[in-house]
This record gives sequence, structure tokens and C-alpha cells, in this order.
Amino acid sequence: MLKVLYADARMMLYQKGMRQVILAVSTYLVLYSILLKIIGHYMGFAVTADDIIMLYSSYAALAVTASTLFTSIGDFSDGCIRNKLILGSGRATVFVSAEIVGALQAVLISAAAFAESGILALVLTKGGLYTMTIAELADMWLIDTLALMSIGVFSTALVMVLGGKKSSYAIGLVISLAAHIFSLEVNEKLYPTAGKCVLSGAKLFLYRFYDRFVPYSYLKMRPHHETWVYLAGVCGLILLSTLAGILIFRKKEIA
Amino acid sequence: METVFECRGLEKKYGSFTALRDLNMEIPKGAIYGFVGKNGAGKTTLIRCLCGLQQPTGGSYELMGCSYRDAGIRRVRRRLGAVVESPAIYKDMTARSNLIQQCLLLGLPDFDCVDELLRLVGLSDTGKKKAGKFSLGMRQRLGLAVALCGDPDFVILDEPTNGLDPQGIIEIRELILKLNREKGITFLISSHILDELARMATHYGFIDQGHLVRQMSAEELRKECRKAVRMKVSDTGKMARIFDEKGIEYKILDDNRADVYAELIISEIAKDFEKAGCSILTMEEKEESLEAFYLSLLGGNGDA
Repeated sequence: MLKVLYADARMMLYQKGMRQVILAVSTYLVLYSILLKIIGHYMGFAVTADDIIMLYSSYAALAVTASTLFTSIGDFSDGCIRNKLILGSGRATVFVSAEIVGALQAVLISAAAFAESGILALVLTKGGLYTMTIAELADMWLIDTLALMSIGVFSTALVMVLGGKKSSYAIGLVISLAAHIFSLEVNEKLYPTAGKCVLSGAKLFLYRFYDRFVPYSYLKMRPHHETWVYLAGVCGLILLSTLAGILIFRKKEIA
Repeated sequence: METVFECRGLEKKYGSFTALRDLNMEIPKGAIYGFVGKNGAGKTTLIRCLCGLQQPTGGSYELMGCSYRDAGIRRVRRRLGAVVESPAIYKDMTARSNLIQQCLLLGLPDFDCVDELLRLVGLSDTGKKKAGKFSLGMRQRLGLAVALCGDPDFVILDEPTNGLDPQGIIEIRELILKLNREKGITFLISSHILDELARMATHYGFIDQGHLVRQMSAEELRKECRKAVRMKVSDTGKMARIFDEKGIEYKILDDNRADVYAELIISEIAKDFEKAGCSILTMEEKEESLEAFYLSLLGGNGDA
């Protein structure tokens, strides 16, 4: 297991796909922050550190999904998954190793984005954080990173289960986009900016469950649940992806 | 006879489609086994089953004496190298990094074999060029080097000369022969280039519609391929009369050429032809090729 994991982690560092995603994330952060600063300057409002720091979380799931899709699909189409199996590596080993690499990608991309957004916030804003403390910021980054790791695991599992087909790109990104939109909807309905929450019955249960236990929703708001809720959501998605994924992948005919 | 691969009544079904049926095959240790069949005959399906990528739906096989159902099969597969369909390479890595990656996957203690393998397949001078920028031929060579990592006992190559230029084809052939001769590596080679296969293979397996139609050694094939003398004469009509009188089997190809299936005593034949007023223009020994044998065995529709 460890040698496959070590080889996979090494492969990840060479992957152009992940580097391109980090570059795209960085470029977007810089351009958006500068644009915000310019608009703020002319419109007469001050850009706060919070605005810049919260930016990455809004599209992080999409970035991590894209990176893991690039890596995992490439691994399949280049015959590298096949090669590992031919060499006698167990299917569960190959699967779990790929998932861990998916999680590692989420950590690397997020670390780069958090560091960059921190620097941009320091350079482009004055007065530091307005609506949160450093401890709250660290808490948010930790929860976001954990959520993104589980999303990385989920999207990698998706590619493995689908056998690395090109349709994995579409399915993975559609799921990520749908989750992004639904998370906005859940936030809007559960925590309306004006008035009270008017949901009831099954819909309220569904929205609350999504808000509490689906990691995609953690990226849309600052942490507001107890830590065990987040851990349960993250572990739940990882366990579900892994167990269901291995069951399918073990039976999968590899071309 | 010691075998590296042996299957009995192997069957593989995809739904209602039977890709392999009652397939019996043995690959002797130290052989270069040419695996020949039309597109869709089941060559790649068998290779996938052999490599553990797919499970047979019936029958059984043994790889280096270990049944595919045994837990030890994974350990046995470490002695296997394979290039199935396309070479398994990381496009964002250099040739050297790709080989190091394979060493890591195999758990080799060092990377000493990397330079030797690069030299062996002629990729020593690729430097920092990424494998994604390699030509098809270079990728094939790299795939072969990857398959050779860790000194495997058995190497499976699916179309190893695909995309190679004539010089590359010769080099790969020489390499396969050298590895077979010097290291005793057994090869299973599926190839569409029958002429090329005929220069290497010590054994052949002919597969059609998922069934192994014929399995034979190169020696047996040579015996089966009929030798003929191709003659170019001034008049094939007169030639036919001479051979009919002598009871010699022949086949007229056109007005001047014919294949004769017998050992001819040249001086006697020359006298007979002179008497009949027919000139012999040229004579050359001709052997029926693997291609011709393949066509007679499996028919001509579809590629090999």
C-alpha cells in the first residue's frame, strides 16, 4: 500500500493538471482582489480582509474537483491504473491510494490559496479582519480543508468507479456545480438575510441535513455547527465514497 | 514442458457476447509466443484476463504455476511486465522519471536499472523532454522499458512495433530476441505485422472468434508451410506437360510463372525442358509465409 501511495503522491507532484489548477486559482484570486480594490476605490468603499479571505471558499469545490478529475482520468487514460493492477497491486490498494492523492491535492491547492489570500489581504487591505478573529479564521480554513479533502476523495472515487471515462469530467463537474447551487439555495432558505426561515416538514429536514452533513455546504458559510457535525459529514462522505467505490471497483472490468 | 501460462477451457462473456470460448493454450517457458488473430478475435481479452484486469467467466488459468484464484497470484504478477494496448506512461514525466516511478511501484531498493533500460530502448538522450511530447515510437519504447523494469520473467506485448519506423522495428525485434536469448525472458507478442512476428516467434497461437484454432511451434509451422520452387519459363503449357508426365505437383500463376511443389533435380529438368523446347528463365526457392498460412487457417477477412 505504502509504495503505491508513495509512487502516486510523487506522480501527483508532476501532474500538469494540478499545477494548472493552482495557477488558475492564484490568478483568479489576484485579479479578483485587484478588481475589488479598484472598484472599492472608485465606488468609495473599503475592501476588508474578510472579503478576500472568503473568496477561495466560494469556488474551492469546483477547483479541487477539476484537479482530481484531471489527475485521475489521466491516470486511467495513460494506462497507469492498469499498470498498477498488472504489477499485482490489489484493487482496494489502488483505489484507496488514488483517493488519498485526491485528498492531498485538495490540501495542496487549499494551502496555496489560503496562503495567497492571506498575503493579498495583508497587502490590499487595512485594519485586518473585521468580522472574525484569527482563531475563527483558522477554524474556517481547517473545516474548509477537511471538506475539500472529502470532496477530493469523492470525485476521485467517481472517476475510479466510472473507469476513467471522459464522461467522468462532465459528471464530476456537474455534481460539483449542482452542489454549489444547492448549497446557495440551502443557505438562502435556512439562514435568510431578511426574515425567518419558513421551511417545514421534509424539506426542512432535507435542507438541515444537507447543511449539517454534506461537506459541499461547509464552504458556503463560516463554521456555525459543532466540530463533531463537520467531522461526521467529512468522514461520512469519505467512508461512503470509499466503501461503495471499492465494492464497485473490485468488480470493474478494466479495459 | 514447463509453462509460464496455461489455460484450460477459458471462457469470457460480456453479457450475451462470448469473447473467449473453451480456450486452451500453453506458453512454454523461454518462448517467444506469437499470438495471431483478426480484430475482435479475443487476443486483447485474453491478455486482459491474463493480466488480472478482467476475470474469466469460465475455465481456469495458471500463471507461472499459480492459479488465478490463488491469493499468491498478486506476488506472481510482480514477475510480469506488460504493454497492453497503449504503453503505461505518465505524460508529465520524463522517460527517466517514468522508470523511477515503475521502480517505486515495484518496490525496488534502488534505481540502478533505469539508465541501463533507457540505453537498451534507445531513450538515453531524451533528457528533460516530457513523455507527452514523445513520438508514438518513443512511447512504445518507453512502454517496453517500463514493462522490463524489475527483470520480469514473462513479458506481454500487445503490438510492440506499432508506430515504429523500420529502424525502430528492427531495434525492438533485436532487443526482444536478445532479452529472450540472454535473460531467458518469455514473451507473448500479439502483432498485426505477421512478417515481423515470423522473424521472432518460436511458438504461435492462432485465435479466431475467441477460440484457439491452432497452436504450434515455429518448427511445426515451417514444416507445414509448403516449400515451392517458383519458375519463370517461356511457355507454361509445355512446362505443364512435362510435369504432368513426371507426376510433379505445380500451380500455374500466369503465362510465364508457376510454383512447383517438389524437390527438382535441376540437370534432369533442364534436359526435359530443352527437349520440349521450353526455356527456363529463372528459378527461386519460395517458402509459404506466415501470412499465407494465416489466411489459409483463418480466412482473409479482417486484420490479423
